Amino acid sequence: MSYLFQYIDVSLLWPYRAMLAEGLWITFALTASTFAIAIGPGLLFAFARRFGPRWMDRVLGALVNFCRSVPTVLSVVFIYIALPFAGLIFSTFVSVLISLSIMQIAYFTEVFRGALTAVNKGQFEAAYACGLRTSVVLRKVILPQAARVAAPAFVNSIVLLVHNTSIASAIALHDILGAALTIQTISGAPVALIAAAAGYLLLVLPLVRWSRNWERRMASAS
Amino acid sequence: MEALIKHFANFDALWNARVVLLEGALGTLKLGSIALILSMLAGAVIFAVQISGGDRRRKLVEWYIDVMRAMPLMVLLVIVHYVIMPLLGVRVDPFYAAAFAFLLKHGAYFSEIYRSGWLAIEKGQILAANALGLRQWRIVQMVIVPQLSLIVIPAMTSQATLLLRDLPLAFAIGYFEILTSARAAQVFTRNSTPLLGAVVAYSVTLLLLQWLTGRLERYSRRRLEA
Repeated sequence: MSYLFQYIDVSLLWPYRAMLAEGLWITFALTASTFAIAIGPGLLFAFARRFGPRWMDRVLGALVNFCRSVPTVLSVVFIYIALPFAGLIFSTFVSVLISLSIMQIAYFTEVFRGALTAVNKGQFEAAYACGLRTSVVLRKVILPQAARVAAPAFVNSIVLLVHNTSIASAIALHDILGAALTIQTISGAPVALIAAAAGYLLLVLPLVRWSRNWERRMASAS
Repeated sequence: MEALIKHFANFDALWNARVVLLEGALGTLKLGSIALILSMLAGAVIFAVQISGGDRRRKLVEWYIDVMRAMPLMVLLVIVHYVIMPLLGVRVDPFYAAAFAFLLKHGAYFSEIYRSGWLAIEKGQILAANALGLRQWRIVQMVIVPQLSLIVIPAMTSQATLLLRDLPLAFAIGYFEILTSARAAQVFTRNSTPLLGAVVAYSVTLLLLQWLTGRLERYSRRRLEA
């Protein structure tokens, strides 16, 4: 029976606390920097698709589809171990960052475009007819309506982003999962992996629950 | 330019690695088909458990689904392979571990799809069909299935696409599939063409599936509105 304790005995992790802290930091840094890089272009492309000329919508739509069709783990590995042959050498962190950012720009574009299409065109016309400036129209009329519709999709895309950071461990970048795998290899105690999984749940489960409740509220409101 | 072609579009390298690449592709196909079937079945079981019981059971299943939505597949694969399988005393084989992890996660998604289809059918129609004297299986066949399939099939195609896109993650626990084989081929041919080939093969397949999903969605929207 005592062998089961190595699955739950958290004190086994104490000697490796620095490693775990660094893993947590890498995961956080990847999530935050990808978010910061992707949010601007995502918004821009969404507006371009909604209000730009027809051909721009087509081109951006094809690009988004292409980005979504490449598994993130493939693009991470490709950037890290194939691009050096073309003279482009990136560190593990930057390789993951590039790959995640491209993916996230595609997701954000979809999310924001969905939000913008959910707002009826008549809302714009009415707001302009009232003599409001573009900035006011966007801030006071469009944003409140679009945000309500897009909130769950937005949160889900961030959940996916956190999930995708765990791919970093595939190219030996020590995020939470990478650190836990290393600790498990060194010490043989599986509690590291369980702790990592619990860490992800602690971070992500509230987001998932929130978006479910929000969707339910929206459904019962309409 | 010549160096780029030599390293990224070198058909000799692709040809030399053909056996490994083919084996990797077969590995992906094998895991993909088994994982897809198991996930669809698991989804049906989860859905049945969820709607057959009381409020408490419904809540419990909902928590299970949310935990699966919150858990990265990469972490789930590692946990199943290194923790759950040894605990169960099952032979440690990355294929079984990967299939089990996919079943746990994608099964949850499939059950949500079935549930959305179930919720979309108006229950009054079943009452009406009963009142008309239709037998149980005729109701399923003539009332439920035609509507359910219009709602559920596009969502299932889209979910299958996502499952396919998740398959290369299985390389993290040492399952031999396209990504593993492309990496191995890259090492022994000292050339990146196999890796680029894997990326291209994947994106072409997924783009086709995405296109198919779009077609199905448009078709069923037209049918549902009519």
